[in-house]
Amino acid sequence: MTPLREITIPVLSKIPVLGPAIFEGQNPLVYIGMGVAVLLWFVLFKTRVGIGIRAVGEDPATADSLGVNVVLVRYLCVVVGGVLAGVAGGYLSVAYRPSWTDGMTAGMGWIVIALTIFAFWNPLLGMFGAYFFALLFFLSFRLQAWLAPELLKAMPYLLAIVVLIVVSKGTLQKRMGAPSALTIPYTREEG
Amino acid sequence: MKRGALLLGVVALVLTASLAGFADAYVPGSPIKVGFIYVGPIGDYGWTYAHNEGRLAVEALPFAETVYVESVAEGDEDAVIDDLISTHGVNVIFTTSFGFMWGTQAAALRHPDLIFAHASGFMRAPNMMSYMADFYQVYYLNGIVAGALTKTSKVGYVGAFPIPEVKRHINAWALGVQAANPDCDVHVRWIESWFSPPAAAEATEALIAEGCDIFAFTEDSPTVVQTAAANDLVSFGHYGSQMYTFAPNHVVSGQAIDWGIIYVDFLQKIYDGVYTAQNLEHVDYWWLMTQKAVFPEASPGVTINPLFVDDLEAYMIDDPTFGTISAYDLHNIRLAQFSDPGVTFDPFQGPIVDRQGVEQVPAGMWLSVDALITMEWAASNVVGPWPNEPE
Repeated sequence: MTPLREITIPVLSKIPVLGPAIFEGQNPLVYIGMGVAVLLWFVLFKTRVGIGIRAVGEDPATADSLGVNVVLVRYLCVVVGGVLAGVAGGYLSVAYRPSWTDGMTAGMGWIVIALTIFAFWNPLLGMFGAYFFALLFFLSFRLQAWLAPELLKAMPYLLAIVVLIVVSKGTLQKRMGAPSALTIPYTREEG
Repeated sequence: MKRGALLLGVVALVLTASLAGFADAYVPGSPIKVGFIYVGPIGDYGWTYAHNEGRLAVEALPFAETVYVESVAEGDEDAVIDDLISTHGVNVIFTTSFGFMWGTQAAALRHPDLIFAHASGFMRAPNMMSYMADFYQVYYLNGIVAGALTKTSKVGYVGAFPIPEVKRHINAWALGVQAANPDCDVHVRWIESWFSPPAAAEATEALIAEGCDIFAFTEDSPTVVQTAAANDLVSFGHYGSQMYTFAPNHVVSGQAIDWGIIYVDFLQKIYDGVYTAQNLEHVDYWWLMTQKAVFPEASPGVTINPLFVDDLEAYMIDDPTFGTISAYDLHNIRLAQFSDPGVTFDPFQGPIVDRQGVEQVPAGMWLSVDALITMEWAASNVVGPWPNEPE
């Protein structure tokens, strides 16, 4: 298997500190990931389509009455989510390691649930949150001689719990919490 | 009337179900149905892969037939055992992870006529034996090679969990390193998992950043081998030579295992009527190099990768027993001593002082199996975190 090639972006990699960290020796999936985060944020919060997507999560009955096909939009979102999760898993095998072993994610993907909560359901914040969680993972090995790795590894989940507490009430919940109709199946009530 | 028929039906169902749950005691000389319960996927290239190779050796026996369940979470073994019994009618069950110990014992009590065998633990019953093929001698041999080949005098170990089994292996490796190179330190990182390629990769990178240039590990994927090779550094394969294929120029040697030799021996004795569901209380297979259960191996049939033999022959050691001797020769002498039926050397041969300055093995003594399987101390050249270290 050929791993993904690492690329360096000419001019940008010369920026001090940030340049070598972000624009040097990374593989294309890194930039695709960043691009997808920005794109999803734009679609969700700046377009009509995004309003429809958020509406089927918050209040499917109203969305339905406004002519949004709730079932179709929900299924499309699940499918797109599945595709993105697949790409994320693929990153491990074609870029990060790079090879494939059965069960190689070792449950790592579940952290996305903590990340989504931590990032207030916002893809752009999610990108920064992901890099922050990755930093904690990285440091849990670098600082092991001085700091219990369990503490750093538990941080994402502790932070998610803190966010859950903070956004559990009032307007904060509306703006930053989970969509109200999340996981609730929608069936149109026929008059 | 209808109700009566229904009741009868239910009673019949319950009866069949409970009958299926009671397997008959095994009669020596009859075919054996063997069940295996694995903690990981058989495609992990590590621990479970090796157990499955052992299962395939059992399949080759004319009187045995096998079934297996893979990726069973520790704690779920109880239900899986019952399912193997009621669905497949197995006579003998091997459970192949430390965490399966309690569930296996509970099942052994529930099914006194069936035979159970548990890997890497210490609990036994009249119908439950324990078994382990241990690597510590092999790690010592790998350590001699690592100590001779390092350029930075820093070698790295990626450990799964800080438990006695892994500590014993790190210490054995570190003592081998020390025998070849008294100035070399063994840096350790823990990943708190038996199988986590992402964590193993990060731990290896962290050790590389500290200056380590040779690696050994306890993790069930070839990740450490690959990460080291990507940095043009060498490592030792774990659980068999299949890891060699991922980096043929960067695997020096490794720890290989043959679980099949234990499985076949045990099942043959059941078939012959030597072992029954009544006499396993004191049966503990603790098999090492003499029994050929474990051995150092780089690629199939090759102990040390030929690419490194010249360097090992050129590296001279001042050994207290053998005087000036090449690392290659010392490795081979120790290999012969471990393989000899009357083993004449042990990695944990005293005097050994731990890194706290406490004498752990008095001069001339060897450690008992009990001391080996409860080992918490760290060898004097081990550097890094070491949870539960005795003060």
